[in-house]
Amino acid sequence: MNDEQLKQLLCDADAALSPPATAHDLAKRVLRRAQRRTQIRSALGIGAVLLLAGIMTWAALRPDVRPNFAQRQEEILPRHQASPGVEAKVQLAQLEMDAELHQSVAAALLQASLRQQRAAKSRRSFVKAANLEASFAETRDETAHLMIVQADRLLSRPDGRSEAIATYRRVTELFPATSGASAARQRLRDLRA
Amino acid sequence: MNAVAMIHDSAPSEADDATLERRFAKGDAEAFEQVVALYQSRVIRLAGRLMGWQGGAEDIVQDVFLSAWTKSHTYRGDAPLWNWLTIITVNRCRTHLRRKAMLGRLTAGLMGRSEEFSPASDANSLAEESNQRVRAAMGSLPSRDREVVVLLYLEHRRPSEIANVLGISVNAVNVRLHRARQKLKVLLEGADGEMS
Repeated sequence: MNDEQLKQLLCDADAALSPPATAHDLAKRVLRRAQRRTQIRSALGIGAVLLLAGIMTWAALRPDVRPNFAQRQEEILPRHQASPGVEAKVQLAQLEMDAELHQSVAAALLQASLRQQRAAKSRRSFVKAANLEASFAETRDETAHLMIVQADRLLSRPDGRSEAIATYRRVTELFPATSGASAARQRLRDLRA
Repeated sequence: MNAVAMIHDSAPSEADDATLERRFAKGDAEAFEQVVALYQSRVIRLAGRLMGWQGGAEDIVQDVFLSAWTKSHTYRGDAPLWNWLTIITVNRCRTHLRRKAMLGRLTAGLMGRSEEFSPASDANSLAEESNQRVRAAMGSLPSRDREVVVLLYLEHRRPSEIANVLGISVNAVNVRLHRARQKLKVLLEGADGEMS
């Protein structure tokens, strides 16, 4: 069998068939099908968008399944409050903290009071010392005056001149900053003159 | 009337063809209706041949024109519209045959028997029996080999055109053609021997 014979056989077999039946409304059917397909695709697209939007909205609005810190505290605390032993422990710890606070405040107040007392005592000692010095100066002046009086009496005696001069000198040496010393120095100058 | 004569009868003039193609490419529904009217019979015939005259061509035609309409904007006009429709028809037939083969395997698996192509039992004349054997031989060819035979012998395309339509090289066309001829000769000469 050569190529031409094969071709003839094929053409004969093809031509022996009845001509294909054509549909007059094929174009309209195809256009309707295309339109339907477009509508279905649009509907699917819109549906997909709506579904996506719904999922996103649901995800955004749904309650958070993870409890936040406050919720967890609320969950934990009632459990602890339900146990009286734990509640008493908490109260006891709070009381201990209050007591420690009060104790520290009292200690601070006591120390402040002690400091005040010490300061007052120091002030009193100072005043006392000042008074003592004043009395000492007074005593010193009195002593110097008494020595001058005694020296004046000695000077009035006939053999008492040298002893009187010695007493005046002793006053100027022992109580130099006193008025008795000034008087004693004046008496000595008079005696020299 | 043979196929060539029918094609030439229904073919429009070149100027009308160009205008129609431009309108069709722009998505003109009226142009599409004209295209369907012009090429419907050719598409049905081509689909029938590519399917090995086993029926089902009418179902494919609607799919072919639906694809053509939805993809009309991709038609560039650098080749005749019939070439473009031929490519679509070949692809749709391949898809259809693939589905049919898959369904056949599934059915054979479920029913425990395979679907076989056999000539009609009521063939009386020798010519009709010969034609049925030719169709059976064509039906037994692999679809890719059958495409080449149909386009060369029945659509009267040159090997270069076939290569362009199928998206393969001319050498590949010649290889497929040689393989198909050998198979057909074996099948048909064997049948002639049995008949004689």
